[in-house]
Amino acid sequence: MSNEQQFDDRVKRMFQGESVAPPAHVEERLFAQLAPSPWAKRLGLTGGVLLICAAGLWNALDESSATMEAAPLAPPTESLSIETATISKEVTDLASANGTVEFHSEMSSSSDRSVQSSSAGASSNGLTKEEVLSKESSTQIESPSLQSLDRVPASPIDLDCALPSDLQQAPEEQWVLPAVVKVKN
Amino acid sequence: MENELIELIDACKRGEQVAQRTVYARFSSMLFAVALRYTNTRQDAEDVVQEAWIKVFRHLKSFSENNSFEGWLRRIVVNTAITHYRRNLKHVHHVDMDDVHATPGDLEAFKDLEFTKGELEHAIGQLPPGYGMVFKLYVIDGFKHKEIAEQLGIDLNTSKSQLSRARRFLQGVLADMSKRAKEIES
Repeated sequence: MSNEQQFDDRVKRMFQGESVAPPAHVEERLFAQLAPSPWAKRLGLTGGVLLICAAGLWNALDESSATMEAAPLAPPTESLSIETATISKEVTDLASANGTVEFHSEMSSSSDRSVQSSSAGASSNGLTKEEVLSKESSTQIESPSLQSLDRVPASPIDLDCALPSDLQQAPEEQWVLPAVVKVKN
Repeated sequence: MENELIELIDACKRGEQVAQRTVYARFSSMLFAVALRYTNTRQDAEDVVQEAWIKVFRHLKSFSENNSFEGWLRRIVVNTAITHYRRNLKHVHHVDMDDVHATPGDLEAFKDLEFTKGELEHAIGQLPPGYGMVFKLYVIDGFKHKEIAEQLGIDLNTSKSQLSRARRFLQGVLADMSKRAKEIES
């Protein structure tokens, strides 16, 4: 055995079985640290309850916001389809009743056609063409077909015309136009 | 390992505080002595053992019953002490071995040299901190140079050379002490 080895063994033997009692407060401090404190328990419990409440509240808010988001989307489609249906129904009714389906903008051309269709009906009643024409010209405005057309909701038809005016700058507004910024080196 | 200890360890793993206190009572003195060896003050040793015991109880599930429980505990204390040492390393004044007044030991004379544990501890205390750590880890606690190098963050050859120089220094100091004691006696 080398001298180094002998020295090492001698030193090691001296430290074998060495023991020094630690002070009592070390044990108390250690187990106080290891034991979960009642405050921590309470804090954990309260935290858990709060977390559950928060989750519930979040869920409720989420659902309500989802319904709020969905709500405005559905009715316009419905009302639009109702309006369209109303218009088409009235138009169909009118067409079947008098054989004249015209919008305001096409009023002048429609009068000729209505005259034609009415005269066709009148000639069958034994009236001359001139009598029919004079009668039609005096009563055309008051005809039930035109009155019915007036009652047709005009908003969907007028929408296109209304759009450009909506897009114009109101006097109390000030629009900001996009600008191009050029950076020089 | 004895059955009683295995049962105690199992109870500790389940978090039973009575078992934890029993294990503490059984090994605390041995571990405190280890901590004292690696620290400069009693307060530091108390901090190290407390930290080490917390690690023991929190990581007990990783302990395999095929190994020595005492050895496992010692390792944890030593590792905690090394962490503590490295944490405080910036406050330690680094002294290289060349700066220490080293008396070259006469190895032949050392064979017959008589010294007490107190004298040895005193001599170890005179070693520069790094050298002392390497010596204690290798000679007393049986660490390998590779482990020491990893734990202390030093080169493998540094660990070897520091051990060699620490040995020579201690032998020299102890021989000097013995010589002076004989002179006083005569």
